[in-house]
Amino acid sequence: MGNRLRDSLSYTINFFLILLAWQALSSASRGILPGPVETLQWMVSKETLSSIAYNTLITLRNAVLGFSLALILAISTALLSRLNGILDSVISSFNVYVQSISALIWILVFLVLFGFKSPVPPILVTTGIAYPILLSSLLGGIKSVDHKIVELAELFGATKKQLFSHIYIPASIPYTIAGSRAALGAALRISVVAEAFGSSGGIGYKLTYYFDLYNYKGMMAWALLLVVLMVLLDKLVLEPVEKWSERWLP
Amino acid sequence: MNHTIVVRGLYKEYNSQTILDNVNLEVEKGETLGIVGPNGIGKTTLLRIIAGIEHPTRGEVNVRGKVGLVPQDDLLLPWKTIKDNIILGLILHNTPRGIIEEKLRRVASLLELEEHLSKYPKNASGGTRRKAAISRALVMDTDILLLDEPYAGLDLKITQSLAGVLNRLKERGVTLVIVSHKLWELASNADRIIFMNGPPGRVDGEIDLRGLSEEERIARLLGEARRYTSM
Ligand SMILES: Nc1ncnc2c1ncn2[C@@H]1O[C@H](COP(=O)(O)OP(=O)(O)OP(=O)(O)O)[C@@H](O)[C@H]1O
Ligand SMILES: [Mg+2]
Repeated sequence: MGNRLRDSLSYTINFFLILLAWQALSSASRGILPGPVETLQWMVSKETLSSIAYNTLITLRNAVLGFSLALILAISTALLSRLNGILDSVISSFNVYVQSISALIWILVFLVLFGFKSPVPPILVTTGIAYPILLSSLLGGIKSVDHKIVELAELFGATKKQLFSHIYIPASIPYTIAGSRAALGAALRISVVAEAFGSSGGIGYKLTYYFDLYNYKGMMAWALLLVVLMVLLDKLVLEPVEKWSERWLP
Repeated sequence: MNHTIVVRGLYKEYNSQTILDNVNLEVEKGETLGIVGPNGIGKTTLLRIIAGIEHPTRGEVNVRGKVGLVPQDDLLLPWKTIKDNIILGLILHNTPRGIIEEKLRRVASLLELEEHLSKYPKNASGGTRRKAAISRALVMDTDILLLDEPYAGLDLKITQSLAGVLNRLKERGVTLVIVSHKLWELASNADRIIFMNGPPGRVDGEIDLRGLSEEERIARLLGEARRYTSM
């Protein structure tokens, strides 16, 4: 059996296993939690395509903007760490602190700072979560460079700037992309949590909106949408990009 | 004296373990020096010190001229093609495109690399990678070329063509230092061969092949080979 075929088959099997488990959970709750069929029926009849598109786009925007900001910050920090040994260890320990700040803390702090109506908290929360993941992989990429390669480049007369552009940055690309896959996944998951706390739209907002109205069909419909969106994004975008980047590895 | 490389009283320690113990050597401009010795005796360390990458613990190292190094483990950049690896030094020096292409074409035909230029190192054979590492140093037109086991992993045909290339460099006045495990690999090139032994690594004997006819060179090398049977 081809790898691709086996892959698609496992994804399909798992999809149905999850639906099955969901149905079982629904039956066990004697219908309080709606099952997949009712949920889908609700989505088709009650939810408009424009609302789905609008809120999905808000969530994607939050995740992508937050992630991009994190990427820029992480690259700058990683380059900074190459300047000297002290900065290097300061930045490594700094990252341990940032990693330890839970999403809830970020959410509450940014809500206090920007208010519930602001679109900013979901974006910055995402940045706060994606940043340490990206920074770890970037630092890992830089550390993976064989020191002898750097020495050879210096023998060729490479300047500090050239060492970055010809050695450190390209060496970090596969690590950064692998890290980005994890970070963007985390960004989406965290973005919806932050949306749930505010009132500026997004999948997370819709989820809690229907939860608060005791409309569990609506809640489950948006939950399903979120999971499908994340799987599709990972399979159709992130995984192919990561595969492509592996040719940069030794 | 017209020495381009002078090494005097060289000691090298790693973690307070002596690797090189009072190494002395001189290489004249345009001369080809062979260095032979068993594994782990410090040949690579000596070359790296001469190249200025590594610093001696004690002793004096004087090198006059631009140095190129062909490292033992090719150290090609995995994210660059064979071509881009070869021209790395030229790119770092902001050499004009036309000159780069010209030099690349010449060295690629010299080492029969033309059909491999667009490959990535991991898709190239060991011999191709070796030739790329050699080419990367050759295109720089250095005064001194340090080669760490340049023949390792090359087939007979390429070994001979590389020996020819090195001879031509020598005719152009390039100073060559060639490290090898095998005495016979140095037969067609070397003016002098020094033997390293130890540990710790030190110079333990030298043969001078300058001014000898081809027959005399071979007789001399055979005689030495008998003394250093392990080589
Ligand atoms: N960076 C380093 N740190 C510690 N020890 C080192 C380092 N580099 C080399 N050595 C040690 O120095 C000794 C000489 O190594 P070197 O690579 O110079 O030997 P060599 O003669 O080139 O061997 P080979 O024929 O296997 O290439 C070895 O014992 C090696 O373990
Ligand atoms: Mg060696």
